[in-house]
Amino acid sequence: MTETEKINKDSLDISLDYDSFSCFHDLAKKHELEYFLIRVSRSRSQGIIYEEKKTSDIFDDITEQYSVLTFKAGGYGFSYGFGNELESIKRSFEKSAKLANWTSKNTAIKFKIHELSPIKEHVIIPSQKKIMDYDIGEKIEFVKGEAKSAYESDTRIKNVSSVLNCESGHSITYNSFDRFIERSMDSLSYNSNVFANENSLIRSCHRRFSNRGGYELIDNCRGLSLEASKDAIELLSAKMITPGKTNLIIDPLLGGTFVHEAFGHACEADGILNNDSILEGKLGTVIAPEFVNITDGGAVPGLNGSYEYDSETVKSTNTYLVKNGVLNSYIHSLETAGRMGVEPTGNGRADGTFKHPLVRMSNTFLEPGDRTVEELLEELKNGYLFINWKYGYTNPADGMFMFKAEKAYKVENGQILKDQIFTESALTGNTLDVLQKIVALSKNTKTSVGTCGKNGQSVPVTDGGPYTLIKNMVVG
Amino acid sequence: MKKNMIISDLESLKSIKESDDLIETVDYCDGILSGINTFKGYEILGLFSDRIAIRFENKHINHANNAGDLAIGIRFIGEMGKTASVKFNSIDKRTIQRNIEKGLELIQYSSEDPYFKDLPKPMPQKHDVWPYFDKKIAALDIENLKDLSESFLNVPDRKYFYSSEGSIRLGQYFTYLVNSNGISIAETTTSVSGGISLNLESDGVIGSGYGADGFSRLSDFSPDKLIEEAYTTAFRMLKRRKVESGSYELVFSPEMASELVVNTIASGAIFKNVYLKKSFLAEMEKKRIANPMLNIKNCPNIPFNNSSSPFDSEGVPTFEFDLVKDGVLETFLYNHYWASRVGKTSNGCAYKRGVASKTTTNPQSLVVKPGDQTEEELISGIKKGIYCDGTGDSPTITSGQFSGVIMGYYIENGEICEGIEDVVLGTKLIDLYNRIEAIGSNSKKVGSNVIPSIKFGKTQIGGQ
Repeated sequence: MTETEKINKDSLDISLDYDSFSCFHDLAKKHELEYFLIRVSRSRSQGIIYEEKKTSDIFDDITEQYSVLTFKAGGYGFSYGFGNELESIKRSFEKSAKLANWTSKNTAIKFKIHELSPIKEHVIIPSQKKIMDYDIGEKIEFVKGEAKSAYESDTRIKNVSSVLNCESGHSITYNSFDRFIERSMDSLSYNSNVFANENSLIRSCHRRFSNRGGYELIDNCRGLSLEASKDAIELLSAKMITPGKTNLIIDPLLGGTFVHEAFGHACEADGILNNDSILEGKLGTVIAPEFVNITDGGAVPGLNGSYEYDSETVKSTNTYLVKNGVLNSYIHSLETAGRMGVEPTGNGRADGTFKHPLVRMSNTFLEPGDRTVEELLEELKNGYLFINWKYGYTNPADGMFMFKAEKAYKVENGQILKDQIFTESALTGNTLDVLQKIVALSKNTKTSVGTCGKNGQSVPVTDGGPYTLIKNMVVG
Repeated sequence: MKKNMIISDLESLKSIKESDDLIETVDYCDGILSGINTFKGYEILGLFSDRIAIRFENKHINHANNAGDLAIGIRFIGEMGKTASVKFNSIDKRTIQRNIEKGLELIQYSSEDPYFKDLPKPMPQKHDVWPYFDKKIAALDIENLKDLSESFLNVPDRKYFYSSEGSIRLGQYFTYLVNSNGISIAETTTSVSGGISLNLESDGVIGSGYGADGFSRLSDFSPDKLIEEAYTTAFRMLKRRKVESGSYELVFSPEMASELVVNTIASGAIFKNVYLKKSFLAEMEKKRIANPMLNIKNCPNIPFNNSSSPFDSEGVPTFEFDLVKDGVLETFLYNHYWASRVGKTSNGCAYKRGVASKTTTNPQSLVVKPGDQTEEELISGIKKGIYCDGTGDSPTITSGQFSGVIMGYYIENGEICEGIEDVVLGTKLIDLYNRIEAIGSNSKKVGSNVIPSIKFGKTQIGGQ
């Protein structure tokens, strides 16, 4: 086989262009639809699962998908299938349109989708090094080297398990507002789990990197396994925290989780419309101290949650959710913007072609304050410093949340006691109470990458913020 | 159709018209691969699904889906246990060719695995409970889904109602597994599932509740039951209280017991976790891990249960066995690779989430032997305690510790009272399991498990 033939076989070309989609306007007319959204994608995913000092799987998958979302008078229809052929998409359109007509008769909530003006754009996410130009052998060597450095760092490191995933994707999104967005991009993600073991005690730590871009991103993954191994070793001497109420400082990574989980989800306008958020009716009211500012937006460049246009073809923005302690805005899709009579914020995101767009966060930040970390510790005097997050969740309806920190140190007389380390430490509370309990924020910030889950869909996000001093938190 | 193909239900197979395409494509891949001697073996898994679903908000159905999907995954085995895999969702022969060539290329880069012995060979089944294909589900259309959702749509008429949302989903599925040793198994199944997330409001306080479940048989699906679960929880959460940190007797609901006791023990017993020292149960085989009144069996032969099947995801026969007997961990859970790696026989626990995923290990259905006290009797003797109904948290399997928020209600003088908030439980799991004081008689299906409530002796919790 020649190199050209090889490239063609792995080609991510989609045999549809702007003109291909004109036929759907006639179909929409036939079914009296008010709105439609068609998404077509072709992507290649190449990756390595490395454990026990060997590859346990190497994979190279090709996926071709399409979906059709249609809307009429408050009711949606959705249909999807595999392949990229126009005729299949047309059949799906018919199916979806019939469903939209059916649901429109079964809902009394009538609204219009927020209208947009036509646009035609090809977004190419720059890759300095095309991700599929690098052969799998080179990628295996990277993962192998990472694992080796972790194993060699300490004899108590007993297992390193890593997954490298390189993706190249091509997609077209077209909607009834004659908006045609074609997108080509590479992306890379690396996950490393490191396990330390001593006297039958096992501790693990996890590090992750993920972003859009070419193989040059691999440089951001170097050293993550070693970092995780150092933390796993440190946690071998960790105890469990005594449950109770305390004052504490949360680090930027955990602070980011707080603004995302506890606050950001409650700002999603679909929850507001369905009486499922504690922030309903609170726009313009004071919900936090004046020095608290929180933003969200896909328009922040270069991050895991960044994008130019959302899954509904809306240009991404950066929105102040809280400005000077006042609830400033919710985040919106085309539907929620239409229903609430506001501009969309570009937060209609879908987890792949087979899922319909939902209101989702992107890059969510608590803005920095004016203190140094030393000043925060001095003010805390006695309590804990909680570091990094493992996971968290929230119930936006009543504001209850929980996060699990990777580790925590005891703080006494403003000093971090490095020999008093705790693991499996959870903090819990009610969002609106806790926002009011924020006492001070540091100048320095950090961000972390993650995926956010909602209604069975996961999308890439970034969150972050400063060190945050909070009083009277329940920990355990 | 292959002569050696084992078919769960021929009639249902014929009713899924796309099954012919999938069988033809998988057999086509099998034909090509069997002629290539570079591979020592291969496993092909094809999946077709046809689903309809509706989503509702309050009284309104505002979203309907109808879609079919097809996917094929091939796992290639090379010399010395080298392995690679590809996935595609096309029946186009050029795509198949591309993927087989890709497999040939990838396998060269794979590490050798001296522990790999062989893929499973065909073995006779040990029971005859197949995944259930309910013709009634297969015959339903979107209008029928509306009828099924009627109870959900009437929830807004109930007292304290604030908001609700949820969905009902129907699906029919066909999977076809073939490997180079002659395993050829075709299974069809159906599913009906639904859930409701409900908020009630009283005096400015929101109480939230959730009810969800899935079945293979339509007659098992009861929206009313799910609504009652969601409503009861939400109603109790309308009045909630902080709890003083201290020592309390605990009662776990079947859902909480499934999550923090049964599924946690199962995760810790997965042999891969044990072997790689990633499990708190690594050195606990044949040792006591819980109070002797705890008995857990793996039962892949419960009729109409959504995970029952005579074969696991690798085509190895499944059978009933004790996981925990009288508080003692009887065995670890094996798939074929991990069992043959240590000279044992698989206990039929191979599991694949989708065609592209790696084969992992998971039991089919875990059943806790019920006790003789009702849940009310478990609670009646408690002066001051907590009824734990769930946690969004997960225990840490490596360390065997749990620290997280628990949701539920305060128990006072033998009765369930207000909901609790800001309550965390921090404990070593084996210590917790040894504090079991009684097991309820109220066995309930939780996912594919069957679990009663469990009562624990005094346990430290954190509150205000």
